[in-house]
Amino acid sequence: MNSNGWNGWISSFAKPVAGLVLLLVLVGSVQGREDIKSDLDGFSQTVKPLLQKYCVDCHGPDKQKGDMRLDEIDPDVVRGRSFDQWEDVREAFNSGEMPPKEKAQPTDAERDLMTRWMDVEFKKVKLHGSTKKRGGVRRLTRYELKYAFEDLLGFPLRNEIDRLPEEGTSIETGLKNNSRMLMISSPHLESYLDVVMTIIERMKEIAVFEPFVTRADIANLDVDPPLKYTSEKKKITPALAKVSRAGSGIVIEKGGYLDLNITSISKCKSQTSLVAKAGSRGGVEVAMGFQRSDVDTRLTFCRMGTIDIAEGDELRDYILESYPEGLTEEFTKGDRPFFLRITNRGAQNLYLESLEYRGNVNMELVNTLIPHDLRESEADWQVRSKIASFVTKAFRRTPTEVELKKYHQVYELHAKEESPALALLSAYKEILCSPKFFYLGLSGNLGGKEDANFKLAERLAFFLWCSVPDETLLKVAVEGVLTQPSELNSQVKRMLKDEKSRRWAERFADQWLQTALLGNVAVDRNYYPKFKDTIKDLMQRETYEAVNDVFRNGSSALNLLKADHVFVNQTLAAFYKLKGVRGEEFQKVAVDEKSQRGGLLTQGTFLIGNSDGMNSHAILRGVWLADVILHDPPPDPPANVPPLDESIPGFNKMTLNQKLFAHRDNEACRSCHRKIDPWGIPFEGFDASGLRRTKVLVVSRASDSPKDQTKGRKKAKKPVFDKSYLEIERKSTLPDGVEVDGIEKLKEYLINHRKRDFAKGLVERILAYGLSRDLDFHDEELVNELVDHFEASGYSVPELIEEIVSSETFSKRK
Amino acid sequence: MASKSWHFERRTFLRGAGVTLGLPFLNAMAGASESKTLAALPKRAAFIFFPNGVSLPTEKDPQHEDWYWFPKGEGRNYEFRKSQEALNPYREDLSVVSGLSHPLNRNSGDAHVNPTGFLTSKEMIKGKTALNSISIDQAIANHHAGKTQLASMPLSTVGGVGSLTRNYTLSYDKDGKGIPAWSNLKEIYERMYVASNPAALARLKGKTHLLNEIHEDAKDLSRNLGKEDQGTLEEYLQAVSELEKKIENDRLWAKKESATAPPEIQLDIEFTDVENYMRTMYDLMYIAFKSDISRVATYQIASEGGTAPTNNLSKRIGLTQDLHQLSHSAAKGKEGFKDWGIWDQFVAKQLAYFINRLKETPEGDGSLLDRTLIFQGAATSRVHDNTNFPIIMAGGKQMGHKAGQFITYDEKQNALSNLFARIGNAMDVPMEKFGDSSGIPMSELFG
Repeated sequence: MNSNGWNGWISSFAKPVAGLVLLLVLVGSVQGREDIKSDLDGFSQTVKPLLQKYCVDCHGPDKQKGDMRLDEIDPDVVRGRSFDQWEDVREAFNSGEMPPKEKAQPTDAERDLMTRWMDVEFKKVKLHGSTKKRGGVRRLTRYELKYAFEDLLGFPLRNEIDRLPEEGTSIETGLKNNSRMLMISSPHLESYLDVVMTIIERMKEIAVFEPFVTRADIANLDVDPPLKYTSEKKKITPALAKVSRAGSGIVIEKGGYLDLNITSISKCKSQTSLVAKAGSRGGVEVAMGFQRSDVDTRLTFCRMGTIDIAEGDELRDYILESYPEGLTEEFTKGDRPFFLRITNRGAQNLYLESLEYRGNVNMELVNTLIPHDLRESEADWQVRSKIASFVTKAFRRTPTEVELKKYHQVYELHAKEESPALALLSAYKEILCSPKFFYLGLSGNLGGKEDANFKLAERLAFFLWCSVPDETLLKVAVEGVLTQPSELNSQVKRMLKDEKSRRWAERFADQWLQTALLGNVAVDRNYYPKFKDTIKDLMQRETYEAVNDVFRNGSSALNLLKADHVFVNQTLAAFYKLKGVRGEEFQKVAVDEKSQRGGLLTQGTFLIGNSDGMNSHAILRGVWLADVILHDPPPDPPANVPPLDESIPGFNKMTLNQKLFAHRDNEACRSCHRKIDPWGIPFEGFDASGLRRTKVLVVSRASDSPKDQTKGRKKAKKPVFDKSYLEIERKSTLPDGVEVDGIEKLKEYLINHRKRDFAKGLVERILAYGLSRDLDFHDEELVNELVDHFEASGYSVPELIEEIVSSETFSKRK
Repeated sequence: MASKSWHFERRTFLRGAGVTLGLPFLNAMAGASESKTLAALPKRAAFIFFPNGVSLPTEKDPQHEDWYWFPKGEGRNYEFRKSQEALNPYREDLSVVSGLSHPLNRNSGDAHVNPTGFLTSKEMIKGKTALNSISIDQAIANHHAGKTQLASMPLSTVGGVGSLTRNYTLSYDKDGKGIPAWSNLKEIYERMYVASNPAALARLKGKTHLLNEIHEDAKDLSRNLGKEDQGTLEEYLQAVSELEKKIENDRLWAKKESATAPPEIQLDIEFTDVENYMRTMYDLMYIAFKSDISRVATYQIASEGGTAPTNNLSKRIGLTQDLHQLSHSAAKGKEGFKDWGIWDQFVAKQLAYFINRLKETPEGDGSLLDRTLIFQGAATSRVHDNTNFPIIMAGGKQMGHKAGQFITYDEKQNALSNLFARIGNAMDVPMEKFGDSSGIPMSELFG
């Protein structure tokens, strides 16, 4: 909401209005809210004539511009049916948007009266209580379930969770954890049960695998076996040609390899373990192979990964973990003799002392369950303890005796047929299917202070970790001290430092910035033949790193608008034509204004996401900026808007601005479009693949070009493409009249003139996320406070979070 | 290692199907009271949707002759253009309908809810309306609940529900909530053939148990909850109770399923393999109808919107533009409408495939097609224009469908919902109204 005017008015009316409000508060608390009376007389004496004079012509019985009609608006703001309309009126009036500049304007005195009347009535609304329903209970979203399962079970998921339908997003904020949007139906519930059953089944499968180890007998390896010859007397190159003996170990030259025959392929996680050293930094490639058959001696390989070998004199342990999902079907379904091959891809010799293939590595899983070899009495104690700890985390509170007994009984029932570890998994399955896990905001059965602590812990964990609280947080809640401000702050700091809060930064970024658009746009290869889809993954990573730096490291949020650095790796830097970046890890790299790359606006994620894959789309980019950055989205287009009249002669030759102008030449279109298009024009210096450009490329089919008109010319079978170029429009006049030329000037404008709007938009969204609901009028005071502090703190999101969490609204979950 | 039944060559299946499927109503019962047997034959309905409308170049445009979707002529004397020529062999089995749409849905003020309202007609105002209303397929399915293993089959290339402004399902339940559509071919097959799958049977048993436990747990929860939260809990309990009934139903059907082996069919197909995927979807619907596994199906071929996953389907069949571009930029360039028409042609070809499968399978005194009503259309004629839906209705001659004509309705007097109500009646559902219908009998099409 864009209400710059309102705050000014507040301070000038503080004294008289505050007095009035104080009186109302006293009245309210003593005599109940029924006593709050709407000022209907004031309406008919003051406001109605003003509406008649300045508004009803366009918003009355003859015309209803913007679907708004004011001649019959209900004057009772507090209890009437027009509250939503009054909110719109107030915002449009206070921001100066209405009446439109070209129409008659109210005098200062008239403005005064109107604003004051609305102010007082709105305060009464607040005292009277909410007109909108708010509930605290909601189910978990799909991504929260994924993280919660991983945290609770200690087991990496594959794609089981994809069976669940995607969440709808809040229209107001774009967030997915909004309680009103999270509904449930029986098919959804069934999918959920399937997901839990699938995960537990897989864990049970893995838990019973027998681990095994196959070790290369390096000490006794014969590195010089006798030469072999083919039937045509041709020498067969020995496998160990590049391998030689060196004491108890062997030396493998560059390009040399060693094969290890293995008995079977691991059915779950495997580890390839080396003890080695090398003279310089290098790599060892690990692959699985087999010979096709007795009669076909060709070998087939599947690469599992590369181990980086450090330079040095000491022997080191190296492990490569891999999963059967990385192997092709021929490996996992066949049962021929397989072998592991390690190849020295480094520049220098590799000294190898030991090589092992460890299959069915399930110790981690087994240890989180029940080790096989416990004595019975110990096992029973272990089981009870594990169940208690699992339920505490899963339900986010101390379990009741009844609950503990119930789940222990489940265990015992299954233990008749399954091993202790598997029976425990069966108990876990039931716990995860309970609504007490699936729904947030349910009260425990304890009541009072402990309850408040547990609820706070739950809310905190799902806010900053998108998952269940950990043991430390629960312990603090059990002790009843989480509600104490110092403890609360200390926990927030700890949680932000924890890697798990990166989940929040990334998922929030997805929802706020609409990063999914990047995946949905297909970059056209006729336009950008060199573009590779793998760049998109790097662009997404760039966005996450930028958000992470602000949200968790405390870098100023204004860096999202304009920054002197970017987050890239070598490949992405090369794509963006930034020099001097080495290495595949992402790093913070300084850039100057000339590169035009600092901040979110010029990240590939959004340049591609807001295009059609062929060319930039000024309207999409404009809408994105207005909605996501300024939190002031334009209204939707009306139904039956005719498409751009592309049959206008010379349409293809028009510049973008000219085309847009043709579209919105209509008076009805202009009032909305003057708020959208100017935001998109400064982006025109970037094409639809995220690269800078100085001209607009237009690719069209040769049959459309005038050259093809000559008679007798045979049409080519395959479409042939013509390329032509148009001028770039970069200059743009923004809605408030400021002219900007190009993207860097736009970023400057945002920093110099709109940083409060950006800050407010971000604060509102983060608050809405923390509360799991849309904000409404009652939150306005808190929002303004938060924005003030946010600005004063140098736009620090970690500090903002501490403030949000300490607010009454958050802790009381209002 | 035994290969799963779907690894078999699809072509083999097509030829040998009649033998392996168990037909619930054997034609060999001729001689017994034939009229009674015929009356007991099940009736079926399928609703199919494709996005963005159809190619409608103006009369002056040279592309009009071949690629304007609606046929030339009218009444019984119409002629399909090149666009819909694949349907020529089935003229006597189908009707082409023009002039129908959803006036109430049109009021929503947001073109993006057109597809969402395709089978419901509901007005959905962005920001105000949270729910749709019941879709016609569900209204029919609810009436016949319990008679078949699957009450309905909601199919869609993308799957899931989507949102009110970008839906991925056509089916909405009685509360207006989207029913997650099925898109994975193997999963659809597994839902149809539960008994052949011991793991699936074990699952069913497991779910029954879990639901019992959930029910117990949920009872503990209603204390100390505010009114709004009570509502959330109620919704959950309702889902639990509905699911309990469904699982119970599934277990009964699994018991009833005869010892006949399920048909073998190639299911390892991604939606990017466009024609094969679509035909397999039609095959699954065909099998379901033939074996009376279900009597109602919906199929959303693709979604609207430039960012939908199905947007590239047209490119995958060799056109240079995606679905969004095809429709939104048709006026651009000399062959824009032709290109769009080629997509329309492709869609018609697949419909012809489905009609043919039903027509060439005998049932009772005719074919499966006689008692199967197929309704195919889009929720717009041109892009975002919620008027004059391009509709084809095929089959159902023994259900009262007077096929063989091209009928044009007066948009101002008639709403599509009237036709839906009549389809409901043809499916033996005694509905007088549906959605925004006004009681018009549509006797040109039904009688």
